[in-house]
Amino acid sequence: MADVFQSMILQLAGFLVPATILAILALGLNLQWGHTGLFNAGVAAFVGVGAYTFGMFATGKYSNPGVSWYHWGPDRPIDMIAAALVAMAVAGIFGLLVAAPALRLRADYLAIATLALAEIVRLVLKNERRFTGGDQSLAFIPRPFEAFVPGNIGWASDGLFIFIVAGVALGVVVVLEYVTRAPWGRDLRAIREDEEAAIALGKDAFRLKLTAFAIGCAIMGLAGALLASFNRVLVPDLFVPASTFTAYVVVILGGSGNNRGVVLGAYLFYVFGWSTQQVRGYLPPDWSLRLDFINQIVVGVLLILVILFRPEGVLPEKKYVPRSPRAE
Amino acid sequence: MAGASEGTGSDRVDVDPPKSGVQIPRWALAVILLVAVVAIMSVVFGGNAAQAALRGVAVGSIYVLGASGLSLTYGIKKFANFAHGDLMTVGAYVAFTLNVAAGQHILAGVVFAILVVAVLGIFLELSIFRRLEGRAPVAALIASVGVSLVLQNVLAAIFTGNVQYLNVGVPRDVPIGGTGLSFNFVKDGVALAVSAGFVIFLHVMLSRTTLGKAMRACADDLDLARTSGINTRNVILWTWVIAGSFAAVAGVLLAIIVNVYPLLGFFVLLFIFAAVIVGGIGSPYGAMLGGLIIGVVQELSKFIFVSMQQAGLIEGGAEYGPVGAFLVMIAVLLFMPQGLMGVRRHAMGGRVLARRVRRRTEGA
Repeated sequence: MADVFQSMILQLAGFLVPATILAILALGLNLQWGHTGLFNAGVAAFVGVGAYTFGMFATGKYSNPGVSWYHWGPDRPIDMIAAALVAMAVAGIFGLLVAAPALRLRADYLAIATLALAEIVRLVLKNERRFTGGDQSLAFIPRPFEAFVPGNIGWASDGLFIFIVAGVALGVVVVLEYVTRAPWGRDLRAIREDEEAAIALGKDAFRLKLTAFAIGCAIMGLAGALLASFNRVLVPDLFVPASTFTAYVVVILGGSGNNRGVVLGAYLFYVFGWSTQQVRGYLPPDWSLRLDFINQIVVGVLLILVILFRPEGVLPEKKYVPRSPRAE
Repeated sequence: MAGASEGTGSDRVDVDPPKSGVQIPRWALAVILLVAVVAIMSVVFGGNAAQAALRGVAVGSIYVLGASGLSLTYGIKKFANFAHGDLMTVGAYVAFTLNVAAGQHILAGVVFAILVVAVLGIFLELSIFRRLEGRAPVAALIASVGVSLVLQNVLAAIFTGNVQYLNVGVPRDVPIGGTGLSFNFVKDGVALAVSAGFVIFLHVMLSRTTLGKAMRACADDLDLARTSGINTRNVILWTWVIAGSFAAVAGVLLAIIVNVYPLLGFFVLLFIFAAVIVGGIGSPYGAMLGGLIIGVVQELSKFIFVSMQQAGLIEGGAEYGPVGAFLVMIAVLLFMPQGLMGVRRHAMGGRVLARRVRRRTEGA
């Protein structure tokens, strides 16, 4: 009986935690893409920067010359909440540095520049072994409140993490709902719909876009920190540029510009991914090898179909102002 | 930015102010700069750098093929096609199937690859991109990301994700008399010759044929072209045919030089975008020059990164070759968004930028 309960908790955490982390990072992307119309193709890079920053600061410097396994960090690990804040700050500042020059360009230039950035970040994570641990991984990343978990019990720690990510996600949703309903959020949508009109009305479009981009990146960094903590181990291949497009599927499927829709999209997407993994055991071996590919095919087809037939997503954005006739 | 601020104070900020005297075009300056960099690096790093530059020209000539096709669709459809790299991969796998599985000569593989990818291009236009006409270009961009995911994974599901090789005899490198450089007739020679041939074909087509002129008209202004009686739908379909066949050839060449795997084209896509941006969006000639520049920069920057590695500054070395190419692209985006041969008018958003620059300089 106890075994059933424990494995249920493990299963539940294995589903809910990654899904909620995906929801948080999609919320960050929604601020950039959904509300402001900025096409950030480097989501993987910002999540990766957040995850590695958290990993380094929460784990501290690690050095094991016997197996030539190192990574950089402060001499003593810092408090995990502080580490998460540092991760957000670093991801946000990183976003600011990239966006300041790139935001002056048209949308698809920004996409290409950020995609290139994601590839650069991945190469650095992979090659700077003394700094990031490289393919040797950055390991032993702690989870918060583990002192309260008796012993070293996997299921209890996983179960606790459900509440941690849920709390963080709730906080992010509340803050984002507030700021996007505030005049600031209206300004962002005004820029998305018609930047020149917004400028003509006296809005500093560049500054607004920059702030929205940086805040979105900080939220992605937070998602990365949670991912690092839950996984306990980071390897560069977690942050391949293509994983960015998962986030886009979530945002577009859920409803660009609608925070609650995006959260729904993340869970819908994860239910799909999770349920395909459940059938893996029942498939003949050569089909179970292909399962991941088929999964991705479905994602791609879904993306095309949503763009073609329901670009507003499952939960469309509520319209606060009538659309201008020029809008798409 | 430099270009935009020149327009300050005039009413038509989108147009370069007339300059007096003989003007050296930007692209010529870029070529001179590139040759100078190669020369300096050959002096600093010895003959290896010249060899790398040669290899870079060969790799770059494949980027030229990919980039000129991408630039055609970019110019007319006005969106960045993220599936262009995967069209190349499809071409590579079609050739692989005929060459290895069916045991045919590679030439048969190339011809068949061109056919398949051209038809695929038409199919994508009719089924997806035509339906997105009139929507924001980003909608088509996102759809092309979906297409890219589908193509990659269909190929992976059929052919597995493993790295495979074409059955093409690659001869040994031949030394170039007295220079200490060497040359490989298949890896360097075929890539250069084939892409030169296709570039000449594209040039003749764009400048001499009715279709080519119609394509340029459509790239300039689709609505105007339509009202002038050009059958724009047909022109767009032909654009996909040409872009697709160039992509197929580029894919087969890549497969000969490197190997075949499902992400082959996706990883090259960024270099091709880089080439298109360096050359100037919508300018096929710029894309050709951009491809060569990106190829050479990618190979040469390995030397700089390796020497930084030896100096203990960074741990990775030759792996960072792509970083050099991307940095060149980002520099071009920052300081010359219209590219080497692009027209400012194509850089949408330039008006906003120009206005901001004007406002700032007038306020100061």
